[in-house]
Amino acid sequence: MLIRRRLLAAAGASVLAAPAIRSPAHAQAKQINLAGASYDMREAILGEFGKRTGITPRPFVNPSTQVRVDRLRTAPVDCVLLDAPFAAYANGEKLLQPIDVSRLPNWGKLNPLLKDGRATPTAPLGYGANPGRMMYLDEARTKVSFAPMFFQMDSIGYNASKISAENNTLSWGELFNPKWRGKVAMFGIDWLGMLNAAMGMRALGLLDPKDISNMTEKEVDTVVAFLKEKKKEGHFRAMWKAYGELVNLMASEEVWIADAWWPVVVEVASKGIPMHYAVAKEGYRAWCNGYGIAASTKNLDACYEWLNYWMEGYPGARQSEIGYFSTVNNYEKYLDPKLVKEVYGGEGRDGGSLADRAERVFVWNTRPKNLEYYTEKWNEFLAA
Amino acid sequence: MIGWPRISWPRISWKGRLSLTGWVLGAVTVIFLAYQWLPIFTLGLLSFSGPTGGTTFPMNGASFHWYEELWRATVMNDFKPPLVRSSLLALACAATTIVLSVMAAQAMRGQFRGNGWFFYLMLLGIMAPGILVGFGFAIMMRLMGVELSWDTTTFLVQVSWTLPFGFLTMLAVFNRFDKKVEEAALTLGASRLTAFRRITLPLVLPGVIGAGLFGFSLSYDEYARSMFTTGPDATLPLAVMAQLDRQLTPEIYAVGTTTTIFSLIAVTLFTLAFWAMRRSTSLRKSSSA
Amino acid sequence: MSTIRVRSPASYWLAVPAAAWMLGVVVVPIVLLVWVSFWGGRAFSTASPLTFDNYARFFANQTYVTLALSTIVHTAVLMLVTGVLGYCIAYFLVMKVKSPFWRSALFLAFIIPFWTSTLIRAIAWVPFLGVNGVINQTLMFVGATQSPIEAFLYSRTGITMAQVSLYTMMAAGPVVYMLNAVAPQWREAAMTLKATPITVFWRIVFPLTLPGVVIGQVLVFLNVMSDFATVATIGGNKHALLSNLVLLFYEGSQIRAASVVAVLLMICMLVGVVVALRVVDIRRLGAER
Repeated sequence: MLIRRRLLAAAGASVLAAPAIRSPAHAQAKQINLAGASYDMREAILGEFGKRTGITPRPFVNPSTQVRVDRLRTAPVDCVLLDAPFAAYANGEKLLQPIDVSRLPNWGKLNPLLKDGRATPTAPLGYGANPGRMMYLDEARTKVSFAPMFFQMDSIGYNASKISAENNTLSWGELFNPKWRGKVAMFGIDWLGMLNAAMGMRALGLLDPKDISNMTEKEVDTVVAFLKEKKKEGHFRAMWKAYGELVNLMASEEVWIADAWWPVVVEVASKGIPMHYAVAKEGYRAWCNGYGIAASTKNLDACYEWLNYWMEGYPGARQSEIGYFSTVNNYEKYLDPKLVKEVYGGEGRDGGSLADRAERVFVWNTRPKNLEYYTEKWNEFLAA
Repeated sequence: MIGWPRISWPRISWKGRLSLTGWVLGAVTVIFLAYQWLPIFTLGLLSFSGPTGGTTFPMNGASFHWYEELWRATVMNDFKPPLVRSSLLALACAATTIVLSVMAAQAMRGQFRGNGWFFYLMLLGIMAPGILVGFGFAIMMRLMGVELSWDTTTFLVQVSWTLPFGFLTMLAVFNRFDKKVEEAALTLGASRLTAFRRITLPLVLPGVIGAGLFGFSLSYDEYARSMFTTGPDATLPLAVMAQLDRQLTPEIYAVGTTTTIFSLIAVTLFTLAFWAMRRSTSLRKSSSA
Repeated sequence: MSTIRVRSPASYWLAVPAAAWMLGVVVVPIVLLVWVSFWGGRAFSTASPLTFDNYARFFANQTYVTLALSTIVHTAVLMLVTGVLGYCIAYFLVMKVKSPFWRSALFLAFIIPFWTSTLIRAIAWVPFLGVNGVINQTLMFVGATQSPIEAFLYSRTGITMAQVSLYTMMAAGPVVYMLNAVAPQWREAAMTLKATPITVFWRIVFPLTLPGVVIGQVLVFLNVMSDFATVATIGGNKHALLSNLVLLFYEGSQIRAASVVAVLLMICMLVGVVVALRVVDIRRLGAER
């Protein structure tokens, strides 16, 4: 009797805890699984999508593109935020499916920088993975690996009351200026942090890579050795991964200079700290993020709804508010005309207009071929 | 006393020395108490920051603004579903821990063959770092093609963490337990089950409650294992961690303060219940003596 | 006689559910991790060839080996600090506080933060330690320093400070338990035999509490080795200990490297616990002498 009672109790407990069997259709109804980052999975954008389409967005947020791509392997994801080189990688791993351009009515309104790879026929293409070149999957340009949604050219953000810059121009090497020891923050994800550091080192003449977006193992070693030295000297105050972290660091003035992003500049400036985004002397680091559709998605129509929502103009306007450029030029109906002039026309904005910035692209964000080596070495730097 | 260095202590009697050590240790204790509580107080204080307040001083005014933000649900910033999920999970963990640990501890009393190994198997749950168990379990699920979800996979892993603690508690309680009372019941003709139900369980109830409390609080706060095994739906600690990755606002301090007060109330209630039960059983014992 | 017959099949079957749970959720995943750490190739497939390459790569890397060692050193420092501090506090609580009300009150005051989220308590240290934080502002107010000390936050020091606050009670708890079991008559007897208070402590009280000390140290050891959240938050993402390394590799989707570090971590923990269990037999925990 004792045994039976016990087993009954145990069985009861396990029944209570039994895995909920969900029918797949029920779970997928009116939901879209998104994998994005802190700068696109934002309340205003997600909320509006839900309101317009009745589909509930379920966001997974992670600052690392590699992590988001890996999530395609292990969890149900419908649309994932990535850029051209990662889309190429994910395509190679059969994690994405081609996007049919004909299902995107606003495709024609794409900025020529993204459509063709350069703003004007004479502008430089820049090193690295130019999305306008990489995203097409066929000669006829009817299929793309990802649909570009917003882009920017990054440089250095600095606190103007502590650091002075002539004409708002700073070299990438300024990040490593010993004068700012202990007041510097750097981005903490391997391939991007490495790229920023390499640009700084190149500006200081410490490194001369053939292709800075795809460095050889030896070059990576040099960069990491330099970084380790700087870390030992106490050069870095902290490493940051999500833009909110950097906002806190710069707003509290613990950090004066960093390889920041536009949203950081906008937010810190709004808190009263005179933060500016410098014009990069050697050229900007450009990037373009967009969405790819997972190969294993069960909700293809919802995915296209998401893509079309983004290309319709509302999210583009919201991204413009935090300082990013929308790839599609129909944001104006949702954006204050003053802001349009500021962000795209460059009035009263650091770095000038979109055209000015597009002319000075030095390198595009790229997924290096030997990313594993980058990761190993970067972890060493963090471990040192 | 051979070997003690010849230090000339000041001429204080041993009574004086005792009280001196008392004062020194007391100072240490009080300072540490402050050390432990001050960050929490700072947290609480900062949670009342004004709307433009950052996460450090200055506060920019005092308001309930961040608590309002907490209450207001948004797509990105909703702590209510994670709170519900964490609570449900914790309750389920507590219940399962109680049942399994009572069973396991009772089994240990029976000294079955291999109970040494069993004991160490239980201990493995505490020894293995959460990241390992979570990581390994996630890989196992991936190989088996099972989808990760907070109410299935996370529950399984969290119990593996809380069960050893409950088990140790019950073991300690049973070690202290006076078998004679059971024996008396059995000689008076009660079946084993009746004796367990009506004599043993009430006497070890404080331990059972302790095990349940462990189960609840350990699961509620668990994040290392949950990180790898929840699907798209996060539990409360994971929601907090995700929020850390985004903008750190005093809202997170509001979360922290609310959780602390909640725990305070829970612990006080359980301690009172614990005492009340202890007193009632000891009274019973002394009256029968 | 008791409610469970010694070596009966019932005792065996009672243990089965708990054992099965732990085996399935802890043992199998760990074995899986060991297996994955030997995988060659790059794809996630069970057909991967087995090779020592991953381990060779790890140990050939000077920085990683230094990291493993420095993690152990860091943990040892923390064990020492929390051990001493914890013992002082425990001793004070049990021996020096006369009124049971104050003893319980103080004990509760120490335990309550435990029931709150460790994550929140770790976060609470950020505004405390920062350049504009409470410590710096107090120091400047008192006049101890002219400019804020940066070394508190985003540094090893800060991590250690926060971890001391988080884990000292783990070291103190078991000691309190054992100290309670030291009958005052023994101390009195020793003192009547003309032993000085120091001798009484060192030769009677301390050895009796040794099991508690060891258990406390083991708890601290386990927690500090697997703590990644404090290191990441207060270290400003700049610092990494062994547990962080697992996560870093996992996020870089290098599960082979992550498994290698995980296995290494597991071995360290196992060694530590086995050594501790040689010293004290916790199966007898709580048993009356």
